[in-house]
Amino acid sequence: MALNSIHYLFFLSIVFVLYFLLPGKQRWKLLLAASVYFYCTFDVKFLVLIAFSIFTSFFLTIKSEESADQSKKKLYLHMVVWSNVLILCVFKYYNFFVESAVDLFVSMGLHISPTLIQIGMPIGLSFYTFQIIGYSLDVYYDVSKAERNLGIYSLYILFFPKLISGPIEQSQNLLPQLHKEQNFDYNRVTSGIKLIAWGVFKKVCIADRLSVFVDTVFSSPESHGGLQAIVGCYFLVFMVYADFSGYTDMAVGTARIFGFDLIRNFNRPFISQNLTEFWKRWHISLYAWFYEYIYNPLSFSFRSLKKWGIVLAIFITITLSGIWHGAGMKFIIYGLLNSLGLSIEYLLTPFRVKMRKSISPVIYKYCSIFITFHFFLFCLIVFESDNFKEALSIIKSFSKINIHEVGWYLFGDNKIEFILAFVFVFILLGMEYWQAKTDNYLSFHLKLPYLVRWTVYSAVIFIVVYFGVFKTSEFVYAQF
Amino acid sequence: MEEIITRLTPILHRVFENNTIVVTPELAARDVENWTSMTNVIFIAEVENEFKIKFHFRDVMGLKNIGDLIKIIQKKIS
Repeated sequence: MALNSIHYLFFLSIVFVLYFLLPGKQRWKLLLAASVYFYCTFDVKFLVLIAFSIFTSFFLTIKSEESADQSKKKLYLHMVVWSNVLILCVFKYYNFFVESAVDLFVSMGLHISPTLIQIGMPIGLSFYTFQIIGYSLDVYYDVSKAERNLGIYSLYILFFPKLISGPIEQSQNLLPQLHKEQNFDYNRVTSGIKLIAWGVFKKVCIADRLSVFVDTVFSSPESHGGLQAIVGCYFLVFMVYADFSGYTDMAVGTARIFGFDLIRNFNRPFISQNLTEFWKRWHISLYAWFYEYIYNPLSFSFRSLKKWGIVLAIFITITLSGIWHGAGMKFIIYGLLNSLGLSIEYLLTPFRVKMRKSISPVIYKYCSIFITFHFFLFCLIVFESDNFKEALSIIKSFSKINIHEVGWYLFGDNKIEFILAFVFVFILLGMEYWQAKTDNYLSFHLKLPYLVRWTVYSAVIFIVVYFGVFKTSEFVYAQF
Repeated sequence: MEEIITRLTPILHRVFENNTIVVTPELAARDVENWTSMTNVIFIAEVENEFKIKFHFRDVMGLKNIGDLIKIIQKKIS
């Protein structure tokens, strides 16, 4: 059940009505039942797997907290961490490792035919295993208390708005909220609905429209002109952003309706002036997780190496974050490229400080934004391509612009779609700018007269229905 | 405490490249421009060298200000 489906709309409406009809203390139980049902709509057989992760992490984390013996504390922590890492590796990476090993043996003249896992990947696996590992580490380091209510803990892992693609919630944020009775709050509910609507708009009007142009380039990298390649690659950045941040808006909006605040996963990433800032603004919950649980302990362990220890910690952390996205050489290269960018940026800090002081602040700012954006664009081309060679051939094709292509965009059959895509990207960026000016950017219309306000609502529904690209496309990050 | 602050001051000035930093127990990372997660690790390594001690990750992860650091140093050297 995708968040942008009619099925989800019905499901959400029913859960919403029942939730506020139930007495306050019983509401979380309904959310838990709804979350289990939601998970089962994807693949019921993996329920056993997620139940195993929930039960084992719940009991072992309590044991870890209660144990006075430091070595036992550590043992219970290791059991939670490594059991979840093992599950992740088996379901997500096993086939990649085996196929890579087979390729290696074939190159050495040996032919083997090992068994591959053909049962697919459990939905949300990368997100919930990380949440469980983060929770057990928080308890181990006394950042959080171990949760004693199995039902609430299960809801913390299974809560349906964030189950498929996050945000990866830290225990200190969500667990205390799940213990509180949430009462009906008209403003919260309407604000949640508006955020969901904005998320739907991003997904169906922007991401799915841009994907037509992006797919044209990436599905046949050899048979397109330079302008098509440039348009496809620029649209790729906004497609991935609109898709994933659209999903996040729907998730955060849904949680808000029920009275919960999920963390913000995106914060205007395209105004970032350097890569460090970019990764604090893009997929915030994932990179915060890697920063807390991988980078910090690693950089501490490598501290005797001084700045080279930091570079090493960056390389390991960011390469792992690339591999988190999937099994494949392109994800490793994606991680390595970002590691390289961040390391160079770190090592060049004195030079950058000198530059900032020696040129106009405005020029420095916009040059920095331009470089950061285009470095990320390059990484994303690698991410989207089948392999690194294909990514380079797409970039090389930028120089093959011909006049027929320009005509195709301006006068061809696709011109309306092309213009609409541009208009919607500008609306997206305009809303982002507005968001920076005010937190209530989705509430501007509240000051309008009643009739005008409903005209705005109707116009938004009309735009989504009329201009939305309604195809059965899943969210980009649902596959991770 | 005064002695520890006296020994910490040149380390802070060197690592964060600012000779005007006035070291007090209340001084925190947010008060110093270059005090990031990256420079913090180098700072910790320099403190270990200066006092000939070894921190555990658990020791430093909850540090809120110089006062907290001083308490740990005192515990380690006593």
